[in-house]
Amino acid sequence: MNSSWIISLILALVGGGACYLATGNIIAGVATGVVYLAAIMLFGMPLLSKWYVIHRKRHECFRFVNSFVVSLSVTSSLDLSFDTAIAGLGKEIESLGRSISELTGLEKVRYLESYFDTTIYRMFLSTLEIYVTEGGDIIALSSELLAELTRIEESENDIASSNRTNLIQFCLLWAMALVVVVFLRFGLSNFFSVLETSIMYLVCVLAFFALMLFSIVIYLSTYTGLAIEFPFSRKKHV
Amino acid sequence: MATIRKNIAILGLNFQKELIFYFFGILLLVGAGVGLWLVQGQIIFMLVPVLGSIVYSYAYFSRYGKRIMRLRREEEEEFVRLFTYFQVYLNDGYNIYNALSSIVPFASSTIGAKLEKLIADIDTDKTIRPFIEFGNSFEDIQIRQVMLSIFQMVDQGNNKAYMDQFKHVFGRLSDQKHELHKQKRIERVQSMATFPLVGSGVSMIILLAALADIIGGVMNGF
Repeated sequence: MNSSWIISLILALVGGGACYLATGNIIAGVATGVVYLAAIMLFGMPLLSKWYVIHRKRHECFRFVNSFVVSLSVTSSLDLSFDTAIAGLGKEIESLGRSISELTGLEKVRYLESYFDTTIYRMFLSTLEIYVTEGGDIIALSSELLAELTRIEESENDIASSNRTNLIQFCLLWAMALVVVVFLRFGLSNFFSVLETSIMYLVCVLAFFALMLFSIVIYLSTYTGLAIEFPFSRKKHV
Repeated sequence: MATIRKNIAILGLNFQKELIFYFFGILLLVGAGVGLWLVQGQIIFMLVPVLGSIVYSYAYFSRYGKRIMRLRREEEEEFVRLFTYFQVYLNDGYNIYNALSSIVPFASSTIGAKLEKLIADIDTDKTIRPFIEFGNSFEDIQIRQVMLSIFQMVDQGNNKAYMDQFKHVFGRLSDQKHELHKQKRIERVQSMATFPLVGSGVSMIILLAALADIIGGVMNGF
């Protein structure tokens, strides 16, 4: 069972369990749990997985280009620089590096274009090709590029740090709202038999859980900066 | 209505299709109001479509303006990204023309078309006009200043003083846009805290609904 399933199950159990506690209606509780599980698995988790890959590759790209340029300026060997830059970056890129070991240094660096899939890496390739064909000082040639890469990395780290703090606030606020709804049942326990049969009460509680689910999905989309993609929709990537 | 129609056209959307979606939403709200009225037997529930329609109409039609603003902001951010690459090419010894041509493959279709037009215009018109036209296609006045400094580099043949001037003008714009982008992204996530607050509001409505039901039950002899 992967982490997507575990996170979705936890959220579904919290949603469904809290709905059951608030309404005393097992059907409403199970239905809420199932809808939570389905919605988070279909809309939320793909966003998180995609964001994680983008985030990891951006970080790897930053480290790779920096190490490569520094190593190249010292050794003047593309092969050696590639091996130095790729070391310790991550299992996926290291195994990719091993699978293309028969290629030349420049070909290996070019091969990674599809792996990183960013314009800044294409720009790095362009600078590297200028260095290979015309020579010069690689540090001077790529100084602007390295500055841009550092700026992107620092900016993304600042955003990630601020977002982590915000995530805790978001979870705490929803937890408090959830506690209020659940404790309503226990606070009004003497009258709960009346509430159990009230359609108005049931509709209000379900609206609360629907809002919570909607906000979780929207939050994930905003947090990751990615648009929600509808499952099974065939989107043409350019 | 004319502004809305214009905004829809700018975004490349179908006006009739947008109106159909709008009226479908209104219909759902009216249906919900009528349903609640029939179930609960109280006409007060017809307030749901009335108040809901006001909020829904505002949210539905105001999003076009916001999307256009976002589109313009994204174009300006792309300009900064592309001209950072332009600066890299200049640093690598390219001339202005070659540096401009080299950044076209990195551009989106919209900015790419503008860049191609700029390059084609530079070929035929050696005045400042192509640069001004390109700069005018963006909202931010600083972009025009950047384009002006690029023209001065062309005019003076990559003179170092003009190169430094370009770096200074562009650096200021770039810093500003990057900071704005960072702030926007952080603010967007921070604004999500509104949802739990609305959730707390709903929990209060639940409490009121529960109390109303209990009081109703007591009045009717439980």
